[in-house]
Amino acid sequence: MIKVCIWRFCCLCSILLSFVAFTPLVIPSKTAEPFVLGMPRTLWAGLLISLGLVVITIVGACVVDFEEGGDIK
Amino acid sequence: MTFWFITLFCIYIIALVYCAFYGRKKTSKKRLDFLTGGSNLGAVLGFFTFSATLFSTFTLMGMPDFVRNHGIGAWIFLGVTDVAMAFVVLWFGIKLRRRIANERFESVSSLLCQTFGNRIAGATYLVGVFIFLVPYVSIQIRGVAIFLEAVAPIKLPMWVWALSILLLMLAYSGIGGLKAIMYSDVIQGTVLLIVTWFIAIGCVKYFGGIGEMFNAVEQVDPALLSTPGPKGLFTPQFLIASFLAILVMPISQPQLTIRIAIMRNTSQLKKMAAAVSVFAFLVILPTIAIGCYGAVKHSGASTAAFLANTLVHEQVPFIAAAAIVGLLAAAMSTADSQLFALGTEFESFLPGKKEVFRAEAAILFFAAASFILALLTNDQLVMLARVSFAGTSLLAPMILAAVLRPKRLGKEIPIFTLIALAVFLLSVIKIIPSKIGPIRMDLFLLCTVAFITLLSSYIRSGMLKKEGNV
Repeated sequence: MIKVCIWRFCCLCSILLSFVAFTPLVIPSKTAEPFVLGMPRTLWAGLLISLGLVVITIVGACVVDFEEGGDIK
Repeated sequence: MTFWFITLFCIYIIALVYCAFYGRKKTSKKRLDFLTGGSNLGAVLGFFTFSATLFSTFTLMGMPDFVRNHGIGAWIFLGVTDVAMAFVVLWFGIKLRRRIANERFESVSSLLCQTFGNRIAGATYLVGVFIFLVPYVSIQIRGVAIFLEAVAPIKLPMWVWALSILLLMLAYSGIGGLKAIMYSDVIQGTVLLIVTWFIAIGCVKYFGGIGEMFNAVEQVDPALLSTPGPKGLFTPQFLIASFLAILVMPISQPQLTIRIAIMRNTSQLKKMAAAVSVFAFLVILPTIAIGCYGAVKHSGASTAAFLANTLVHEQVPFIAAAAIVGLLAAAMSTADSQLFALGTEFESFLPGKKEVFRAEAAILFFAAASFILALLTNDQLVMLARVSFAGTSLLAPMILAAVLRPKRLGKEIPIFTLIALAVFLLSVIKIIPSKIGPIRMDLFLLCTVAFITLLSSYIRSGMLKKEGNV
C-alpha cells in the first residue's frame, strides 16, 4: 500500500514539476538574474527541475509494483 | 587528423560488422524474432538501444546550434522535456506491458487493428508515421552527409556519403535484424556521450570556467541568457507545445514503443527507464556549453561553419576524428531503428503470409524514399525534427486509448486522428494558417484529438456498462 502511495506521489510530482518548468518561476521573460554558480536563472532552475525529474523516475522505478505491470509470455 | 579518422572509422565499421553477425547468431531464423529481437531485452541493452535511438544528430548538431541562436531556453525545450519523457517511458511501459501481457507483441499497427477491431486505426497510424518519420530519417542522413562532405578527410560528395550510410545500415540490419541494431546502439550511444562531453569540457576550458562562459555570452547578447531568446522563439506556448510533442514520443514513435514492448520483464523495464533519465540529463547538458561557445566564437557564422569549426577544426586531431565518427554513429543509431520500425509496422499490417523478406523489402523501400528526400530536403534540422515530433504526437491519444481502454473503442478516434494529421500537414506546407487565433495549430490539434478520444472512450464505456446492466 505504501508503495502504491509513493508511486502515485511520484506521478503527481512529475506533473507538478513539469508544470512549474513553464511558469515565470523558471522562464521569466527577459530576466537572467539571479545567477547561481555563474548560471542564469532559467538554466539553473531548469537543471533543478530536471534533476528532480531524474530522482522521481528512479524512485518511481523502485516502488512501482509488479502488479501494476505484467510480463510478456 | 586523417590518420585518426581512418583508424576510428575502421574500428567503428569493424564493430558494426561484428554486431551484425553477433546479432545474427543470437537471433533465431523465425520472422518474429528477427523483427523483435526475440522479445528478451535486458536492462543494460535496453537502456543503450533506447537512448541511442532517441538521441540523434539532433543532440550533437541541432542542440548546440539551437543554444547558439536562441539561448539557454533550449534546456527547457529539450533537457527538461527528455528527462520528463523518461518518466513517461516508465509509466507507459507498465501500462503497455499489462495490456500485452497475454499475447506476443508484433507491432503497434497490429495492436491497434486488434484493439479497434478494424484496420482503420492501423492504417491511420501507418499514414502518420510514414508522413512524419521518413522526413526525419532524411534530414538526419542529409545533415550528417553534408557535415561529412565538408569536414571528412576523405573527400566524397554529399550523396555518396548519404548512400553509403544507408547501405551500411541496411547491411547490418539485414544480417542481424533488430538484435544487430541494438548491439550497434551500444557502441553508438557510448561514442555519442563521450564525444559530446570531451568537446563540451574543451569549450568550458576555453572560457576558464562556467561563470566566465556565461559572462562572455552576456557580452555578445544578453537575450541569450533568458527566454524567449534573441529571436523570441522560446515563448511559453512554443515550449509547452514542444514539451507535449516530445513527451509522447515513446507512445507515438514505433522505434521507441517497440523497445519498451520487447523488454524481458517489468523489472528490466524499470531499470531501463531510470537509466534513460540519467542518460538524457548527461547527454543534453554538454550541448549547452558547446552552444555557448558557438554564441561567443561563431556568433555570425552559418550553421555548417559553426559545426565544422567547433566540432572539428578547433579540436585536437583525435577528438575531431572522434566527433566525425560520433556524429555518424548518432545519425545511424536513430535512422536504422526508424527504418527498421517502419518496415516492421508495414510488414505486419500488409495482408498475406508473413515473411522476413517482406519486412526487408519494406525497409528497403523506406530507405530509398529517405535517400531521395535527403537529396531534396532543406537544412533546418531542429525545426524539421520538431515538425516530425508534433506530427507523430497526434497519434498518441489513439495509441493510449488502445493501451488503457482496450474493451470498446470506436472508429471515430482513428478518423479524427487522420483528419488532424491532414490539417497539420496542410498547416506545415502553409496551405492553411499555422495558428488558430493566438494558439499554435499543433497544440490546438493535439488537445482536440486528446479531448475527442477521451470523450469517445468515456461515452462508449458508459454504453458498455449500460449493456452490462441490461
